[in-house]
Amino acid sequence: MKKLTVAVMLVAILAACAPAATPAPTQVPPTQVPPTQAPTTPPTPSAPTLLTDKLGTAADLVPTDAEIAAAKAALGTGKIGVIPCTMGSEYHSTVANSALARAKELGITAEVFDPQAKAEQQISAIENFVSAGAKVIVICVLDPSVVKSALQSAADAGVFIVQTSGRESAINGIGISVEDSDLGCANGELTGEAVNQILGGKATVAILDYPDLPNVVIRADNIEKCLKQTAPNVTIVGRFKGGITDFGQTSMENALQAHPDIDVVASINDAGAYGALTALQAAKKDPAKTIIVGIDAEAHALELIKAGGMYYGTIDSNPSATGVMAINAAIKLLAHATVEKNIKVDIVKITKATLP
Amino acid sequence: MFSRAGIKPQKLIEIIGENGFIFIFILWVVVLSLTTDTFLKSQNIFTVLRQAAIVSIVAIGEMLVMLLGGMDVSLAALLGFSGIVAVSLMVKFDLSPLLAGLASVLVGGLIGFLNGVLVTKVKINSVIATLGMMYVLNGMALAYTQGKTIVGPQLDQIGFLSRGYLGPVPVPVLLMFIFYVVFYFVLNKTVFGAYIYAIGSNEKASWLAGIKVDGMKILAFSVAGLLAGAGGLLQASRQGSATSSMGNEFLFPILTAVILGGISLSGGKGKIQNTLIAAVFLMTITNGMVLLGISLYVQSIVSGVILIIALSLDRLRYRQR
Repeated sequence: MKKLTVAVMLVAILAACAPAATPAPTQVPPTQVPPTQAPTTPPTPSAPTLLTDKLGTAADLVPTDAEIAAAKAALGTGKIGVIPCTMGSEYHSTVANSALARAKELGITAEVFDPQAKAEQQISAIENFVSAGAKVIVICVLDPSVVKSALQSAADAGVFIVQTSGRESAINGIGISVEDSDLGCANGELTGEAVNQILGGKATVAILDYPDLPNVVIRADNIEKCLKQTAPNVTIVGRFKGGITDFGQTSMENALQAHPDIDVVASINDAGAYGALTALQAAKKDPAKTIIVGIDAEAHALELIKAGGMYYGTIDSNPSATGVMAINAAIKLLAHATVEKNIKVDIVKITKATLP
Repeated sequence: MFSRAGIKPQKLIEIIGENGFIFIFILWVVVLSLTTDTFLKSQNIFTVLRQAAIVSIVAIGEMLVMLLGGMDVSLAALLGFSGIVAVSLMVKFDLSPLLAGLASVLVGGLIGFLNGVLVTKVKINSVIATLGMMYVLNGMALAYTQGKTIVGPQLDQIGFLSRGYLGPVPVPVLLMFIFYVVFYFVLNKTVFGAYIYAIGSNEKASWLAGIKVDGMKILAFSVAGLLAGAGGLLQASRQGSATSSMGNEFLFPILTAVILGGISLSGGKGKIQNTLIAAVFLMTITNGMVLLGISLYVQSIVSGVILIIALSLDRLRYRQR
């Protein structure tokens, strides 16, 4: 183990940090009106003006040509650092790749670092991007408490932050996200609706959770809460580890031994739900009376939903749009524009009926 | 007291060092048998064994490397990479399951061979070399899949590897026992096995005795790679798809199975059958906690405690030397 410890330490040594300088944004409280711009070409403000009076939408982030030009000038030889939660899941990689594509389209340099779903890795990534001259960091925060100080240091160094998870906690920048609570609740509602419609309101439910990540636990909490509100007669037998296909499968195989009557699985994502599907199929569950609902609207999930069977639905959290919005937000910040601080990504409940 | 009963304390410590976890395992089984009505059902036992199959097969390779005094931390990543190779050859290139499976196993062997060369010829510490390889493989898996799930109807053809039965016995369980019987024979009845233990016990003496130490190490890493490749194929069959992260969660159980099974961290000592029992034990812990309804949020605490116990027992043996 000594050898392993030494190896891990060597990898950890790679982290480094250094400050840069860009002005911090002005945050306008809900009651304040942003300063009116003169009809003639106004001087560029020294900092972006972030509005908190309402939840913005994708439309609020679309940059003008002047803003794009101003952002490019502000960025100079700098770059935008993109730190997804992981590149190992379709949702997160789509957000990151979509952000890269949007940056390329605008002629801006953007780079991705994969923290492999490890919050500690995100600290190093933030420090390294600051050190490498990033002017904006786009980040999907895995655990706000872990990365908070690193993000604050980056912000103190003048780096703008665009947060694609947990929008309310965004530091020195813009929060764009589907809240995990919204996603979980949408899943719970969709699962409940399916239970009411297909199983007459009664079902034995297993929830696939992923306790390693606090944000994801919020999803599971809200799946449970909204499911009980929508279908009060369901019996939830427990939470089991999902998140990735193998965990979902192993957990469901074990859960079915303890609770053979499980007929509904509500999962915090699609990847874990695939494993549950395999386990339920192996247990020869009746596809017409078994319901699986995931989150993320991965391509494979959509295929399964379209094909009919156990995979009843998923929640589309719009990863492609989120990536584009993240870069648009970065442009707004770099151009010192006036923009909403908190931006909402619309979510859609997907079932066979809603698919083309 | 033990001396009077005919067992010397040192011998007892040695027995506990190598087999102590079996007592804990038996205790756990007894608890589960008494407190749940499903644990001892054949269906549940086969579920546990099926879940243990992949970890235990790849753990054989890890065990070979560790018997030589090294450690391969890339096997889980290699498992994932081989799985991706098998799946993409079938889904994207329409290759037959046999050829795709063979290719994935061979890719595993080739990368294992490379690990062996890095350790013996380039003289890189095995943990460092395989840690680097782990990052390379994870990176390649990610670059190739772009984070997307690779899936297709062609994968139904390999479904029998994980979901099939031969009589009442699940195919992966059968494969697991076949691998263990073969490697038990190899380690205990062949010159290869004798050399492995000899090198692990005293590398310099083995070299002086004319054993081709580097060659044996390269062979061990290659076999470990082949087994990881086979594990990848089985995992691809099990989940019916491939993702860049499909091997990520295997490293901990593989290492734990080997260390818990009593393979000495300094090499040269340990029994293959104990690795199998340890792998099954690990799966029984997860299975049992679900059957007992123990909160998901404390499961990793138990896994961590087991690793600490295993390492403590291993240290107990070192102290006696």
